Amino acid sequence: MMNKDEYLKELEKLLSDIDEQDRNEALEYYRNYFEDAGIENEKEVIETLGTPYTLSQTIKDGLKEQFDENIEIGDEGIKSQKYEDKNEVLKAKKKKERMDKRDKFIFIILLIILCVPLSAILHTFSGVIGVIFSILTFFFGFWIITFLFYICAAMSISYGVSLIFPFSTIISVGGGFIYIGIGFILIALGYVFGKISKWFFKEFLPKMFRWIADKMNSLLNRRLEHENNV
Amino acid sequence: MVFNTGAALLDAVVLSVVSRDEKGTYGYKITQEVQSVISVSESTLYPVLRRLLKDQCLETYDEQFQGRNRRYYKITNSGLAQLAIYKQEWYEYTRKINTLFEGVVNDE
Repeated sequence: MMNKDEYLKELEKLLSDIDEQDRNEALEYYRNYFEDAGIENEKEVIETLGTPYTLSQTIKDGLKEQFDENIEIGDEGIKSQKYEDKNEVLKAKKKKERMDKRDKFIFIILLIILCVPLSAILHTFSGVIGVIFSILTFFFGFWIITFLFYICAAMSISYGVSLIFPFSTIISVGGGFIYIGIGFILIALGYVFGKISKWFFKEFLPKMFRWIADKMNSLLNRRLEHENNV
Repeated sequence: MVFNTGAALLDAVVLSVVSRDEKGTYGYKITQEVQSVISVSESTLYPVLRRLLKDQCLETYDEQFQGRNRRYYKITNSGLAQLAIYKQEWYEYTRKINTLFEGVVNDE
């Protein structure tokens, strides 16, 4: 809590942009005010006068002859419609800015993530099968893996069937059943990966976007608030 | 009080408070006395006093008090005239409201 001298000094600084005579008069008035209230009431006077900033605003409005506009004096002291309006506008603006920022973050994250499957597709087209398991295809990979499992399963089963039945020159009943078995295992794996990818895209990703956006947002807001306070 | 006080009534109250002292009175005392009648924040009175000075409803003079300077506010003749107008308006206004509240039929 500042004392009287600090308070008046701060007020003087805040009034530095007004006419010197007006400033000296206001400062003289409040110095007088403090002196007449007595040192024992100093704390109380500072509390009731409000911050040097609000006091300086009241003084400046008085100078602009705007003080009387829209003022109301009720139980809670004086209220200016103007201040309230200004306050509300500021609040609304801040809220809107926050919303915009959040939307922007979600958009950027979506863009980054959309780039990943794009690069995965490029890699797939270059024919490198190992890429499917690489980190780059991580997001899109689940679908590709699912798809590949089903293709491999179909190929394996049909090859197994062809081994059992005498369509081809080589007949191997045991080998046929092994291939058919592998095919069924691949179908099962494909099904599992299908479920994983469905969960991944429907539940996990949207949650993650929101989480990342909120985190980035709160970090940024904290910094903004910090800057505002400084 | 549930009713709000407008700027004109605040002027009237301040003029009335200042007019009660022949010698004039000073900022802190005016604030205390106004506050005993209506709730008004302490920072409000300076702009009001300043405007009343500018409108020549009040005048100031400085006097030494306990080794320091103290500014006194005193009502002027035009301030007294203004106060009379305010009082007239106020009586008229409250009379009408009172009449309404007390249920006297208006036969205009």
